[in-house]
Amino acid sequence: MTRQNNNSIIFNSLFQALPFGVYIVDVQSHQLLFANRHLSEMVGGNVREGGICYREIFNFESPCMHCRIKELRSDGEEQSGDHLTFEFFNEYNDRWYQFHELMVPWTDGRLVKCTFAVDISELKAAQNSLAEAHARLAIKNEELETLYARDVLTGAYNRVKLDEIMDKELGRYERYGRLFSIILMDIDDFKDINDTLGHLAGDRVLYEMSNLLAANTRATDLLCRWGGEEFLLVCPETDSSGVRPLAENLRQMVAGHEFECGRRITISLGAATVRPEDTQDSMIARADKAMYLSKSQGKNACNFM
Amino acid sequence: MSKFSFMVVDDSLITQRKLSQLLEELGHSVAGTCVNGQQACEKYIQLKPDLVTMDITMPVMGGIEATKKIIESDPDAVIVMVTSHGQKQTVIDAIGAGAKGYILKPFYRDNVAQTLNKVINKYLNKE
Repeated sequence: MTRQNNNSIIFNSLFQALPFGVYIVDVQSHQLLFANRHLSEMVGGNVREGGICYREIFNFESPCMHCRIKELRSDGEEQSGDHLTFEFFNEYNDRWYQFHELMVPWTDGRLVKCTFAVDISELKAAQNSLAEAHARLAIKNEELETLYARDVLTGAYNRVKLDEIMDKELGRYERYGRLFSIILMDIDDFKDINDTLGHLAGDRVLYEMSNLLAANTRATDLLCRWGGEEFLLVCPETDSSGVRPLAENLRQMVAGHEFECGRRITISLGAATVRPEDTQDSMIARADKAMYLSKSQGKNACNFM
Repeated sequence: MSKFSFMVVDDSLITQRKLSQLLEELGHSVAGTCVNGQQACEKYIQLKPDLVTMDITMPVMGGIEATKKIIESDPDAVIVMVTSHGQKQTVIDAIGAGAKGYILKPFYRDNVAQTLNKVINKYLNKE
């Protein structure tokens, strides 16, 4: 018996005895050079050596989505010893595999890819139930955060959260001198909406107003429900020259919006930018004063103090 | 439990078929299927399904971006992830994007039914 034949028999019996799928593919032609018995069983038998790997093993007409031959060859020069490990979910048999792939020289000198497919479904099942539990916890956290921080009717932040936001912004101003502004907004003649259209319609207007304001402010601005028909917008990193046009744009946008109840609805606004020695109360009091000035000017107006 | 309409989003046609079949077995209907996130955003507006099942890794637009976009256009959209990705950060990103449930592949009938029932009871059977 020649040495080569002997090697081939040893190779064959070793790979056949391995308790996981093994197959070897020519990286140029995708020709399947070897597949062990375990691999054949994994994919339902009938894997023909000599055929094309993606047809024989995966039953595809073109190279598989998960094929890593390109990656193994990505440096343009295939080299013996290049190695990749990745996890792969096989949709056909609903099993998870860990693939170990490496480039090795074949008996005739050409470079081939050798794949070891280890079934890790049991391990994955344990990992997956942990990940699903993690997801349930994350969902619960989101719900708790919503309950804690959001106004139930409008979805805007509530007073509890506003205190937190203002504390944080005042702290940033004191420590780093980062300016911020607030805009207090009051729906004009809201009592009349409640009295003539009913409280349900009034609630609907509040909900619509909240969504409208949230959709028309910057991602970094924070909208809170301040009182009955009052909203307060906190605008981080915004000075007096920034907050004035912002407030005016909101006024115009609301005045031009067609509300579901069919009425034209306006808001009166008062804006303030943080000053040295400001507290949450002093700052909101200034915005409140500016807002009342807007009311006294005939409503649907905007002032800054 | 009442019957709900679903949109199944997955780039794998095998998963689409398996999941659609399972949803129908559970008494629901499948209003449509999509192979990527972009298609899902467009089809969602047309179909207005009660629930969406969303894969994460898909060509053109992935499931997390699509979830964000759909919820932007309809804050009441109910989206459940059905994916093979169980990494912590991916889970957090998906829930942060607004997903209401998370199912990992391979999905089993009881697991899918249980997760969907919870989501349905919380978000769709309010009245």
